[in-house]
Amino acid sequence: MPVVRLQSVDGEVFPVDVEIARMSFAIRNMLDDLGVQDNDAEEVIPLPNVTGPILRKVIEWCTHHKDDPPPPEEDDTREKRTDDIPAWDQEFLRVDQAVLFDIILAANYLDIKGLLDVTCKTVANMIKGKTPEEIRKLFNIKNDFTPAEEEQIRKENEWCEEK
Amino acid sequence: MLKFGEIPIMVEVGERADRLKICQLKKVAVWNEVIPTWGDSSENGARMADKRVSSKRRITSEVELPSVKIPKISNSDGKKILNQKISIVDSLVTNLEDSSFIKHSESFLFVDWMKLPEEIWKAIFLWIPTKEKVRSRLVSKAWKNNVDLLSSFKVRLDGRMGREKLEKIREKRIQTVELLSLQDGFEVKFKYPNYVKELLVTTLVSPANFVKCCEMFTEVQTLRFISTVKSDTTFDPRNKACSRKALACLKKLKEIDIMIHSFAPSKTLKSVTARICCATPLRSTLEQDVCFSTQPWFSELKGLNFQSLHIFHSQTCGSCDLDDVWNEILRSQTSLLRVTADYNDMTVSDVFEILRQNKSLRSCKIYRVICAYLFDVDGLQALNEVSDSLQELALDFVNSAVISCNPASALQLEMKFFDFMHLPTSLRKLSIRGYNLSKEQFLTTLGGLSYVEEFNVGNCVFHDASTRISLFKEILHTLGFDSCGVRRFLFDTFEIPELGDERKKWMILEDAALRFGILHHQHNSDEMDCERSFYDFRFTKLEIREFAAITDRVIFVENDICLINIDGAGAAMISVISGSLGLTPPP
Repeated sequence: MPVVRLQSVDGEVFPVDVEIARMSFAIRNMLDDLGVQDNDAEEVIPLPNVTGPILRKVIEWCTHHKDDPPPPEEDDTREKRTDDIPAWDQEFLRVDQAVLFDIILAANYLDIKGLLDVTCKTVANMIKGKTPEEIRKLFNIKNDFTPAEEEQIRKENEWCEEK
Repeated sequence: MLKFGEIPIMVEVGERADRLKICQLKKVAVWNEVIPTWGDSSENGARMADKRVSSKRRITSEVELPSVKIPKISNSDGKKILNQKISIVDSLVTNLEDSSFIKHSESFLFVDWMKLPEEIWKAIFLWIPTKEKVRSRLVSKAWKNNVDLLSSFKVRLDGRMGREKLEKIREKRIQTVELLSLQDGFEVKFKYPNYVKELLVTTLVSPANFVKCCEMFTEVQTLRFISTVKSDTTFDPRNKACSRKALACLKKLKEIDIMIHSFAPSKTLKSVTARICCATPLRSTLEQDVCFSTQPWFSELKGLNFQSLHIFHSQTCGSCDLDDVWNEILRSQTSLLRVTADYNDMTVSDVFEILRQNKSLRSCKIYRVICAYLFDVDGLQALNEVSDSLQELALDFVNSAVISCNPASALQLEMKFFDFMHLPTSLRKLSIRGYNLSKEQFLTTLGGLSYVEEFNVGNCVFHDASTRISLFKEILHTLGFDSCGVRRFLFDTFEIPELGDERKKWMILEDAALRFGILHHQHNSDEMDCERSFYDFRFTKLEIREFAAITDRVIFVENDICLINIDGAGAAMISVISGSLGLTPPP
């Protein structure tokens, strides 16, 4: 299996099967643009926005999902469900918020749609069903509204509560 | 939180010059929890990153540092204080290192989720219901801005609506506007008209008002007309509502949807829905001289470079000259990529002639075109023709198929219909509607779907009620699809009507669910099979509340979806969709 070497921002180098690396559209484009052939095993692809531990996680996810079919096209009419995260992914993403945050950024930077989808769903699940106060606590956000501003927003939100 | 590539400097220890920065510190905080060692390339580092750490990192001790002013650094007292300060920090850092605590300062920081890029928040909000999103506007200013900026709100601009209500909606960033009963000379000014991406016209709108709207919402990408016979002049260019002048204002227009619902005098519902989607680029192709003269309102759209086309009309519709329009478009649009049709007025050979002419055609819904034509022709003959043509066309890019058939014709098709199922190895989704299948046929079909991951059996008529029930049990029990790739299984109109006793019906379902749970348990040891334990069952005409009343396994009910936790095995799930899907398959 042809291998490509991915280098994280902290200099760690990960040999990865090309097939797996190409699950990232960013890497795929880099490989294509650079004209890197499958047998250019010595070629190192620098990834200046991803740290070693996060890159390791990303590679782990891609390896597990390498045989998955391509994610479906965007479809606004598609049922919006967040309860269909596979068990493996749920366990994989049971990490510290900081790690989850960095995985999301890495998925976005590397353009790995499947990983971005599942991480975004995970964050959405964290938010769903929570009051504003609970969301603040969850994400350590300070309420910076004045009472008057808060009242104003409550009024603005009324339309949503109307039946 | 940091962006990629940025290294924060909160505490620096090292060269003496850097140490000067330490004197600006007032406190050094120590956390009481193990925090991942970032940048550590060892296995241990990775494990640390994986380690679950509480999101609430509490500061357990803070060390007050004596204040010192940098200009006094040359003063001997100042140096003394500075050295003391450096010593304290060195000591703290040494202790931290010794106890495998923090090496890199970014771990000190809380995650600032608000620093996620907009597109990521947008992707997150996509999965949150509108009401919850709106309520969450109270979280903080930054959060509110995100919600307002990234959420899609829809508003009806109804001429009969009171002024007060219009005032209330004016502040929202609205992306969809529905025009209703607008009187001439109406005046509504939106605060953010450029956010409007979709314009929906459901009643008659005067040309002047339509132009006014187009001029106001110049960023509109989708223009949608929905009309009944009473207002079918809405988009008829003879009233010049849908004039090129108006369209010309919409510089970002990507799609036009036209849906017509007409009612016959007998009040029998007949529907004609023509949906035309034209994708970019509009401007560059306006000069093309393509004329769809058969329909006056199509002629207004001439030259638009369609990339996708959807035409639907019901079987009950009588003569309809949309045929010519459909032909005309298909034959003339070389860039057509997607075609969807539920249609019964053309011959199969016509369809394939069109497919041959459009070499660029790449649609996951081509089957819909093909199979829809099975309605009007002899079943077996059509089957052979379809099969041969499929081989000839080598449509191996097809990944989704909807096979619909009049049950009367389907009786003749029998198993031969499925002979060609091996052809599209790219097939991932299969939906069969309107077939009369025996249990054996059904299970055989199921076993042959090596590549299909989603199998939707809609409106299938099985021979009798006992077959349906035993089939259902058998599918669950023997799981014919366990050996194939099917992961998602939908029964659209699977009914068990003869039982009468509702409670008994539910017990069957519950029994089925338990069997599913057992299946999951059997596969539990194999990690790779975990995700296979998520299967869906869709039932119509079943009441969720009834189901909830007889089982304690319902964990929550939301948006008509009932999630059931099976027997502690955890992952098995059944989705029960309530409500009717209607009589016709959705487009």
